[in-house]
Amino acid sequence: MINQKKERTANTLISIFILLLMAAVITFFVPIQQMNFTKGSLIYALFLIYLFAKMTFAEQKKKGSGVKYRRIFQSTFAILFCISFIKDLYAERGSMAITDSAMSNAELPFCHIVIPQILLPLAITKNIIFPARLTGHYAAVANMLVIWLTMSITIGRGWCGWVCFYGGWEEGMTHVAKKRRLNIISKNKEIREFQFGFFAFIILVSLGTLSAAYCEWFCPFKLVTEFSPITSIPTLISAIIFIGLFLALVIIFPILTKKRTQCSTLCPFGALASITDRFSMFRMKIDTSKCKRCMKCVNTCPFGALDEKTILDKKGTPELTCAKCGECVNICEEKAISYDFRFMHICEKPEAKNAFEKSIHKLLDPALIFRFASFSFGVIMSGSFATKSIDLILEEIFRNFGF
Amino acid sequence: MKKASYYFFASAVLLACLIGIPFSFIGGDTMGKWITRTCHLKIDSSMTGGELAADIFDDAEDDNGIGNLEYPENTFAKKGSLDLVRYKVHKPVYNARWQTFHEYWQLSLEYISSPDDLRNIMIYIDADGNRQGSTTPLFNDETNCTFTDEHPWDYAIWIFDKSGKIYGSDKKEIEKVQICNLENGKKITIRIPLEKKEMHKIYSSKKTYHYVLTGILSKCHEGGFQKVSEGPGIFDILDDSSSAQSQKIQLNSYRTNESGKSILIPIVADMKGTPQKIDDRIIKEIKSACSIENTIPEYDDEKLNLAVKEFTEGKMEDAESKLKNIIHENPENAIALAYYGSCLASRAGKSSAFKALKLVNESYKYLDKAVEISRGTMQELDVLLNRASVSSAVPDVIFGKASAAVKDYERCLEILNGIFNEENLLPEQRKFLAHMYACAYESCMSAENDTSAHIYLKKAEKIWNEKDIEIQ
Repeated sequence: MINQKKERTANTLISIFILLLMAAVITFFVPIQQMNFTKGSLIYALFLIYLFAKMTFAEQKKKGSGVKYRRIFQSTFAILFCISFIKDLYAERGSMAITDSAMSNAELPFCHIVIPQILLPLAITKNIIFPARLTGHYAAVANMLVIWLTMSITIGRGWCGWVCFYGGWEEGMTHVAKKRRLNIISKNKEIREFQFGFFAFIILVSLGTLSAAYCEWFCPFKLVTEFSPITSIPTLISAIIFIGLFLALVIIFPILTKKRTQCSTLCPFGALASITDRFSMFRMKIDTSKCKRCMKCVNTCPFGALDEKTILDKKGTPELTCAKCGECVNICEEKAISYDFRFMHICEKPEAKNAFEKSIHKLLDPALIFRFASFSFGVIMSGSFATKSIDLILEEIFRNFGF
Repeated sequence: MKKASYYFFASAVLLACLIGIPFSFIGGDTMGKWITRTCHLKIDSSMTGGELAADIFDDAEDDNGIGNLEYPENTFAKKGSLDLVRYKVHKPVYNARWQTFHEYWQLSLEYISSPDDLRNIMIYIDADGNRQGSTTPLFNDETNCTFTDEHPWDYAIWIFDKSGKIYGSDKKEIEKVQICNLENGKKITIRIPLEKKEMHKIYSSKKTYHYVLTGILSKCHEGGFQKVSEGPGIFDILDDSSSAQSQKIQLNSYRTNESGKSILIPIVADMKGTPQKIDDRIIKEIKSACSIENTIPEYDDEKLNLAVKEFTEGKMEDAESKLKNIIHENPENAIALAYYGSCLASRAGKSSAFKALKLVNESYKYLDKAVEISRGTMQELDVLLNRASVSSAVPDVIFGKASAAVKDYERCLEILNGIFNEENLLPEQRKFLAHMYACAYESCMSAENDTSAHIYLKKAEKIWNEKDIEIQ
């Protein structure tokens, strides 16, 4: 009884410690570094602290239940990013359309989805085949490469499940409908194969044409960011494609299937992140001895990273496209699925013999560290966009209501 | 062993996630710049105008036509808006992706300042050197110029405000060109589409010859230059001032020519070559000859003089402790603050990386405070020189102070030009001014502003090459 009380106290203290650390990260990267204590930055900072606190204490009560707050964060980030980015475009260029000036001066924003398309051409031609700034801007090539390298080593494809401000659209859409209307779970394997096949196609076309083929033709998120003005048949065709893909894969199919269809079928960055995920510090583990093969995780996985075969064959890990979102951890009643360190194949976790060692284990809990890492990433990436958007919204509200 | 390594790896992951992620974002810009420089990253040239064929610098402050032309009072032409300082000719681009034109030829111009609406630019190009083309201006106007018979023009590009057109030697419009104005028109890029048959001779050009004329748009003649009181109505032409065919000579040739018109000579661009690097040997000569660092400034305060003497002689520790005492007695002593900041920065150069970072940041607290206090006073020059020297010395990849150094040197030059009479400089003044221009040149090169660097190089060269310079 006393030991249980000590354990609970230790857990609470550790949670508070992690919370304080996160509060420090939020305070630095939101009000201080980004917008210097504007109303928007304070509101957003408080919102983030609230979300992380709820997530942390929810996880303490029931493993995996913090996933609800991840969904809220990612969806909110997607919307606020869109507002801020479009505002910046209008301020810079007067429209969402890519201007001749921006194109010819290599001033297009470079997002993470471009990265897989430029790597091979960069290795061969030593040139970057995308007209973006090299440094000195949040959307500059070198800055995004640094973010990608950091992400690959730490959270890996957890970027898709926790941070991606494009995937946040689908994250929100998968929770619009209460029930699944279209079941594509049996096609998970084919979808994964399609994603890697499409990835290879994009890489080869980008290398062959020396241009970012996905950005030029397929990216559905041009609808909520920027696009080439429709001035010719090719630009008209590409507009039809990206609008169609946005409506289908980002809005309609996620609502019907409750899956992140764009992320699991088309996104080349997701495919690249799946491949480089083997270098990240974390992975998902399935304890096959606890698994009762109820298939709830298969039903719930938004990335199609779990098949019936994965569970029945007792594979022990999800498939390559796992984005570590934690939905399976939440849904599994036997708590068979958990976060784990990737280095565990060369180590053995010692048994905690006393309260102190238990506390250390709690502090070194992979799930706790992973959540902290992913949430930090999200906080830092979203800091400036979210605060600008909130300030804009507040300004509009005050203006319309005559304050 | 396996259990011990578990704690080790788990702790490493914890530290990497708790500290590594935030720090990688804080230092992301620096890391990005380091990656760019180390890996020599560059954007594909077809997206940025194509490879450079020629990069031609024109003298600054020569926007006075025949030599005495003044900007008209009844226009709002900003001083420097007609002063062309740089002209770049790129090689033709084929199969460009993501661009308005898949085949194009880019030219770019840079002026000292951005224009009002009345700047008129004409570029005449002899694309093939075959002595076929036109030697008269495109528009009937008051230009009062012709072009040399050796290089009659094949194409004429007219740029006015934000639009441009290209014409053939038959004076018929071929098509519109794409104009991009940057920095409010201070820089202009011109993209000439090469899809039409009339433009195809550019592909096979080995050398192209360019006449670039800048003036004020005529109110009487469409596209022409406005009449001026004397001579051709052109404020600046692209010229090779080192040759006998400088702007003044060309534009004044109307006085001696039978036709009564000035004959203009083009600048050649080697379309198969690469631009020559800036010859900055004069900078090294100036810096090695000028012994500014041994000139010890003197102030009213004896203690300060002693500290500054020790600083100049390289006795940093002694200087630092003396300066610290002076600051303690008088925290508003700008000179002491500036030199103390410089001492800290000097110490940073001999310290470990982490300590150096701390020392440099600390040094800027003193330097910035000194600049703030000394603004508008007699001490401003000395203080700015200290800060500019430190900014030039610290690694730009980490601290990003090259642009700040440029601004400080520009302010120093502004102060000096207010004190010195450039027409009548004493030898010591000449040396000091040349040295300042040389330092400004180096800072501009670090800040990757090679247009300004070239302007300062020319000024340093001009002052240094004047007679009666004493070299110690």
